[in-house]
Parts: sequence; structure tokens; C-alpha cells
Amino acid sequence: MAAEPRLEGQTAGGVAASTASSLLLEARNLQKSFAGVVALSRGNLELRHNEIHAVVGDNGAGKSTLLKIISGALQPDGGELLLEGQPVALSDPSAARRAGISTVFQDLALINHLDAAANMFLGRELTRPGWPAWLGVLDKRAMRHTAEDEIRRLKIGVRSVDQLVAGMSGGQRQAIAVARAVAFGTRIVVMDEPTAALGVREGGAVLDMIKEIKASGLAVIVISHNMPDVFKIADRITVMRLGQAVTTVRREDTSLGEIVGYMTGAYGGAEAAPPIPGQGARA
Amino acid sequence: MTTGATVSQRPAAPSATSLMDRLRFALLDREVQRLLVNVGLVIVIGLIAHIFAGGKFFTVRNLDALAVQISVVTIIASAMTLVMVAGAIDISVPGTVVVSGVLSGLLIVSGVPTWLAFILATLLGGVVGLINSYLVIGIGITSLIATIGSLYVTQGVANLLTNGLPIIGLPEDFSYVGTGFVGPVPLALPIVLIVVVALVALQRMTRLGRYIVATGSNPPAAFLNGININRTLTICFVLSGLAAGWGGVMYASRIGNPTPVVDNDLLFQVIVAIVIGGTSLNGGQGSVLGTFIGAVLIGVVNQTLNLFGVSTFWQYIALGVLLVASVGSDMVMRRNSVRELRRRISGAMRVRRDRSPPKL
Repeated sequence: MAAEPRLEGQTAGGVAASTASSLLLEARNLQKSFAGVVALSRGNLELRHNEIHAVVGDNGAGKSTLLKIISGALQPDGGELLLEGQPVALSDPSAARRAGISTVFQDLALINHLDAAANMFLGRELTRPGWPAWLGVLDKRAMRHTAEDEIRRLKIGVRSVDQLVAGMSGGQRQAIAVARAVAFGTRIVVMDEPTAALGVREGGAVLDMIKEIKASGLAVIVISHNMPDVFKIADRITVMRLGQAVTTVRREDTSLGEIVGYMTGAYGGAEAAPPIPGQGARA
Repeated sequence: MTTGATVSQRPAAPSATSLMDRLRFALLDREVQRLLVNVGLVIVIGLIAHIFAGGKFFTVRNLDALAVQISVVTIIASAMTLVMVAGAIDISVPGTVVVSGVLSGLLIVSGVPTWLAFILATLLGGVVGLINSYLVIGIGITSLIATIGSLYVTQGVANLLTNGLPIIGLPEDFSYVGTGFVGPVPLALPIVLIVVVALVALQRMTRLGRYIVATGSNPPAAFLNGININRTLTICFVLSGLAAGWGGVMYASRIGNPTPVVDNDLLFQVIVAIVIGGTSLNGGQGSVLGTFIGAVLIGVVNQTLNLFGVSTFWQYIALGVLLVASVGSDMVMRRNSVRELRRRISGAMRVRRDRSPPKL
């Protein structure tokens, strides 16, 4: 909690400038176990500014655990998370949001009983200025306008921001969740399987949206099973296997075959050996 | 960036939402539909009563009596609606009503000024709410069970405080809150309206109102969006307790002698008002305004039956039928809308039969 906001001001100092220029987010040897089962033993990730970074791996490779730590939903047992060179502790999802990291969770975390605009501003509602702000009086008009602008900017096919999300299609719901993350991610947007539940056309629309996010200057972390999608959008790809980050490669320098080889353990040699429970990775 | 081809395949970006669109969405909203139906029922029943009772329904005197009659139920139900939208329930309210009524009486008898006794009794309700929220959130007991527990405990405490006897020897001003008048208006009416307007505003206009919906609708999602669901639920329980505490003061004031006897009928009337008002027992859905209309509807039905001299026995039956009919009609409407949807889907595939145009 202590270190999360105000990083912008701190990194303006000369010392951090050299690190900040190269890496936006760095995960160093993050570890997480659930009831003795090691889910993540060597969670390493280096996210550059304004890149689309895909994290791939088989089921149980630790992708989602890594993502949940970055989004503040889980606390790591060990390891470090650095944002622009500064260590950060993300004690809960709102701390992550304040640090400029917003997440599209796999189940989208939408509230069916609220409309699209309310969902987009959930937990970040705009209030009317002056004393009504103290009472938490909502500025619904401003929120609706911003939501409409965002939906237009991302070219989302939603008829009205007054529509309840319960009545929306899978693609529309995904789009609302993405729009929410983009509207409030000031640095990084994290997405867990953004195309998994979607048809081809809707999935394509979400991929376009991810490119739009990059075009607007943010960095994106995408977790996906879908290799063709990953190769369509990613700048770099990190492969995870059995709780470890095995390798990170540039998309141009790799092939589908190589990535699948890393995922299954055919490549990677000793680096990719299964982790020993209880003994984390060395730095 | 997106290529031109993919962009053109997508649906057009939304135009700024027109007023008609917003009205349309509002009318499709089942909560709004139910609200309109209930308001219609209030007017129709009232008019029928007015005509058949020789113009005696819409009189100042009758409406005053109505306001006093529904005041306690309305105040408690309005606040408990928030608890139910947040996905919990507060069964303890009749116990809180009794214990706060008794406390206010005891304090006054022992020399505390009436106004201060009323405030302290109301705050006692808030404390009960706080205890309820601790049982539900801190320990993790289902709210139904936890609040049944506090119903019995508060009832027992009220009996212990008074040895099971009514409190007598209260000054005249004790009855003022429950039975007094400001000009032609019973004091209960502005009190009810202030509480209802405040809670409607809280629900519709504030951040907390949305957090309550989110907490009741999808707690994990609410948490992931940075909402403190425990704090939200705690506030709901405390508001419900405060309302029950104040309701207890008004209840005792109306009767004149605070008695440590729990009125379980009060609990059921509260729940009936909430459910008729369209609040879901599953959380996430419901409105204070709907509950208010629901309470008015119950009051109008009771008052009408009173006007025609129908016995209380039949009034119970009427209340039961009203509840079942209200929830039942909702179920039938939902089923019909599913049927309608199927018909429209199959109609799109087959040649359309001649039928009335699908309504939606």
C-alpha cells in the first residue's frame, strides 16, 4: 500500500531515469503457492513501454497467477514487482488501478444489474464538484459522455451506454470490460484470455481494440491460449511452463513451432526443469 | 492500427443516446414495469374504494390514518431494501423495534429528556446493525441465521430490561412522534417522506448506491473493481438497524406504552412491502422507491378493507393473496417473455403465422 501511487513524481529523478526508460514493469522471481501447491515459482516478466506483450503457456503454467499478482488480486509469497524501476506492493485491485495498471479479468468482472456506463466507471465513479462530492453524489452525465466517447474511440458496437450489461452479447460484454480497462489504465492494461469466449468476428474486433490501446501509448499484457491471435498482435512473447517463465522472444524472431516447443518443454533445456516445491528460483 | 476493412464490418459507433432510447430502456426495465403496475394498483384500488365507500377514501382524515398506519413499516422496509439489494437480509428488525422502544421508555422514565432518549434508542438500533454486520462479515454466518439470532437476543434483552412488563408513567410528549399533528398533517408523514427521499437519493444518486448493487449482484467482481464490499454491507446493516431503532421509537410512541412483545407481523409486512416493490431476494436488484410504493399498496389494501368493515382475518388473506399474485404475475410475465422470444426465433425461421405483433 505504502509505495503505490505518486510514482510518476519519483521516477522524474535522475537515478530512476535510466531504468524507467527501458522497462515499464518488471516482475522478478514472483512466487505463489496455494495450500502447498506451487503455482508460480519463477514469475519473471519484463514489460517495455508501449509494447504488446503476450504471456503464453499450457494450463497450469502459472499465467493467471502471474496476472493476478500484477493486477493486485493476489499477493506474492516472494519476489519483487517493479514499476518504472520502483518496487511496488499492490495490496488490492484498487491499489493496482491507482498505480496505473488495470485488468480485464477472464470472467470480465462486470455487474449484470448495472448499465454499461456504470460498469465502465465501477469503483472510479465521477462525482459532482463541491460539497456533493463529499456525499458521493454521482455525475452521471459526465460519466455517460466519457463512456460514449470511449466506446466510439474503440469502435465498440454497443447501441447505448444505458443498456444493462446483462442483455449484451459476449463480444459486447468483453468490449465494455476492455473499454473500462483502457479508460482507466494510465500505464498498463492487462488482459486474461480476451478472445477465449468469443467468435471469430468478435475476437477480431477485440484484437483490433488491443492494437488501438497500443496506439494510444499504453503497454498491454495479454494472456492467451490462442497462438494465431498472439502472433497477430504481440510484439514480444513470454512462454511459461510449470510455474516458470521459460523464455521471452520477439515475435519476428520466433515461430509457432518454437513457441509450442517451449510450452511443452521440448526446448529450454535445464532452464525449463520442473520446479522443486518449496524452493523458489534463484535470482 | 485497424484496417479500414475491419472497421467497416463492425456495427456503427453509438450515436449520443437519445431521450427516446433512454425511455425505451427504462420501460423495458422490469423494475420500472413493476413500479408502474403498483402505482396503477394503488390508484385503481383507491378509486374503487372511494366510489363504493361513498367518497370516504380520498379524505384528509383517511389519508392521515393511512400515513400513520404505514409509517413504521415503510421506514424499516426502505432501509432493509438496501440490505437485500446488497445480497443479505435483516430478520432482526422486530427485535430491534422492541428493544429500542423499551429503551426510549426506560430512559424517559429515569429522567432523560424525550428527544435525547429517542436519539439514543435509534443509535441502539445502529449498534444492533453493527453487531449483525460483524456476525455476517466478521464471522461469516449467513445473514438469515445471524439476524434470527439477534432477533431472539434483542427480544430477550427487551424483556429483561422491563421484566416482561409494559412501561407506564410516560409523559404526554412521548406519544407526539407517533400520533402528533403539524396542522392537518400527521407528524409521521413528513418523517416517512424524509427517510424515503433520503434513501432513494442515496440509492440512485450516490456512489454507495452503486456499490450496494455491485456487492449484491457479483461480490467477486465488485472486489476486483476496488469496491470495499465488507464496508458496503456494514453500512447497509447499520442503516437498517438505525431505521428499525427509529421505527421502534415511533411504534412505541404510537402505542403509548413500550411493551417488550415482538410483533412478527411487522417483519412480514416489511418483507412483503419489499418483495411487492420488486426487490430480488438474490441481491443486486431492487429499489427503495419500489418498496415505498409496495408499502403504500399494502396500506391502501388494508385501509380499503377497513373502510368496508372487513374483518382482520380476511385482511390476512388479502395480504397473502396480494403477495403471491404480485410475485406470481412477475413469474408469468417472465415466462411469457421467454415464450415470446422462442416464438420470434422460430418465426424468423418459418413462415410467420398471423398473430398479434410481438410485444417487448
